[in-house]
Amino acid sequence: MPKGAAMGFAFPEAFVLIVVLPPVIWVLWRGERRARSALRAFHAPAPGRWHFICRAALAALFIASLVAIGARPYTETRSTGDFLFLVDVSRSMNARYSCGEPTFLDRSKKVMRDVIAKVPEGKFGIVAFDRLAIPITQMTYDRAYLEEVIEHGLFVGLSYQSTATKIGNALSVVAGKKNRLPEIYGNVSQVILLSDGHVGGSYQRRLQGALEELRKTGIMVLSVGIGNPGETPIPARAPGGACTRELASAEGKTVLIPLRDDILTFIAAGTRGKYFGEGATGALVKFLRETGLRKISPGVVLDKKQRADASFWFLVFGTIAAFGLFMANTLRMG
Amino acid sequence: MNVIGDIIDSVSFTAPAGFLVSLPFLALIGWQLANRGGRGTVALTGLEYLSAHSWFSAAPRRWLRAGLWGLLAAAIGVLWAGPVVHSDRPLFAGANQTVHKNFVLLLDISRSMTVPLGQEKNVSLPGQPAPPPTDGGKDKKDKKEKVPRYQAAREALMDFVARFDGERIGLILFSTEPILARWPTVETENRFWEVLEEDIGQGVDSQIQAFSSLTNTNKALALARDVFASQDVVGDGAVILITDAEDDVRNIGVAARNLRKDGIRLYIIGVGISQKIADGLSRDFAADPGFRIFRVDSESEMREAYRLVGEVEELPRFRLNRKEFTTDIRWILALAVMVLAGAILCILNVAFHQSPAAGGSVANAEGGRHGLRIS
Repeated sequence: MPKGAAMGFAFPEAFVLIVVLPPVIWVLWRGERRARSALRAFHAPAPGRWHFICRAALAALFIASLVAIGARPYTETRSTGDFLFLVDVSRSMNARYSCGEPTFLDRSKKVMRDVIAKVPEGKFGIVAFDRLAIPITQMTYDRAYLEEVIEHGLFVGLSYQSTATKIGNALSVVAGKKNRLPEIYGNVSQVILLSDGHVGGSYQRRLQGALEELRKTGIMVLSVGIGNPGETPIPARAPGGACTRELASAEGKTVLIPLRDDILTFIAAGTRGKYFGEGATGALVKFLRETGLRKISPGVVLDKKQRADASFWFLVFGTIAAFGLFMANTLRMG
Repeated sequence: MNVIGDIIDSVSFTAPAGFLVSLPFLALIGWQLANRGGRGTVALTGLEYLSAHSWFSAAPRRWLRAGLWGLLAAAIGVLWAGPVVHSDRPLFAGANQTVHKNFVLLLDISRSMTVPLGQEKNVSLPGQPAPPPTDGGKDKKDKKEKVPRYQAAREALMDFVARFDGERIGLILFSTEPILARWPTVETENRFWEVLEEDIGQGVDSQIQAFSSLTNTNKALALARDVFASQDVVGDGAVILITDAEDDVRNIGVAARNLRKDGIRLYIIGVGISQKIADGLSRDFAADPGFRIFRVDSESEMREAYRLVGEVEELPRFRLNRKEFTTDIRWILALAVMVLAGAILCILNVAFHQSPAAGGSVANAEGGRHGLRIS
């Protein structure tokens, strides 16, 4: 159960069926009493009182667990947070040393999946950017949908102008959306930027305006550097899209992609955010959980997808109890 | 049973490996059947008589007990396996609709879409200023209708999304190249406003204005086809293409036929295209009920076209063959297992009967072949 989650039952009327329990216990008690008297009559060793207590307790636990499952238990988070992934889908995100390795974008997707899984209270949206920045998903709690988009809907070449990484434009678009659409993005206060930071020219000046806009809207950028310590080539693609051994080149030179963690750190620092290495997903999640989640006021109606089925633990308890009952009963099946 | 059969299409399991939980239980029962005796068995001689004259001998009873315990073990396995019922209507509150109509909306954001409806467009090359549009002479009397094509198309598109609330809808914006602006989703309450709030037109400073250039309808249709393919949508999808690129529309044959080959229906809303082209395409696809082209020249005609597309899609012919809902039935099954468990515990419990002849002692006990067994 996530920390701070509350448990509830969607069908509490099922608890009425707990009335079955006393008659069953009574039948067990009567049987045990008669068995003991019979065995006494035959001067045979009878099971002790603990035997009945154990059986009754196991039966009670088993039946109560089943009733609880029938009551449709769920957990509901009492905290939430709106997070926006800003994912670089420019051509440089196809970089990798060889075709057998995941691309930078594949590695971004892994970070996204980790974050989504480890912040189950979060509401996430995805904005993909190269020259343009497009919100390719709505803000949603639907994990299955997000997974589908990450798997199929996020690719290099989302727009044909994918040869450039306009981080500044993407950050401005996010700030603008929050300003213009407060009912949708009003609660977004943290943006997770996944990029290699491959920006040409004087980035400080180019990014200054966008960072100022973000600061004004109260958005903090948590940048995640995707890349390798050295420069990474981009394997060229065959017309069908398959990776080849050829390396992409421009003006006769092989295109090599460095990880510009200096730029990403600059962006994070400019919005009072933080830079995380690609392998520091744990620290990113911890940071998001500590600073990005807010309490939900009592009485607020939650999204259906904020509920998680909680029958698992009742099933575990019920199964253990059932196994104990089987042991106690079948050992004497004869 | 027929009633249940009419409602429930099939049952599946979300975690079939859960059935393995039954194995230790079944192994225990098997072990018990193989190793008779144990606690509570009192060796008595002379009870062969009881055994021989019992109308219901001990052996079948043992198998009956094993069967009942086995049934309980199997039921526990089913609970672990996560049973889910598939039906054509929701069985209980909280059922999820899993089969939806699938739409991909293709919205032309090329420069010519900034021309007011009812006016002829002027073609300009990228980088060149667009000459002022000339009035085609239509809708002169209704100034309210002279909104730019893009805005009119956007409003009608958003109304369409609202009409098909709950269905899976995606959005592609296209100009020279297409952009997949929204992966198909059932959460359409914002009607894609996150994307469509950006405007295009002269003097507009938006990023899609920078993207707005010429028109390439074929690529947009190919992207829509790819999106459907990624979702394994065959036969139940529809593409609604809204464009004003007359020349491009005339040449969309291959992309349109590819879509139709996949069973994807195609509706074209041609803004300001000539009647001749609309008629020509209608003739080309005359035998194909999955292709329609609408020619619109005003905002009201635009809305009418969307309304017609909506109505066509709601025809029994194109309505989903069936809607499918999945309902988690673990909870209701748990209640049934609870009743079963209570019954089994009672049935299999010791059932000595008081015999008056025995003077309050034990009589009519179960007779075993080699002794008295207490269960």
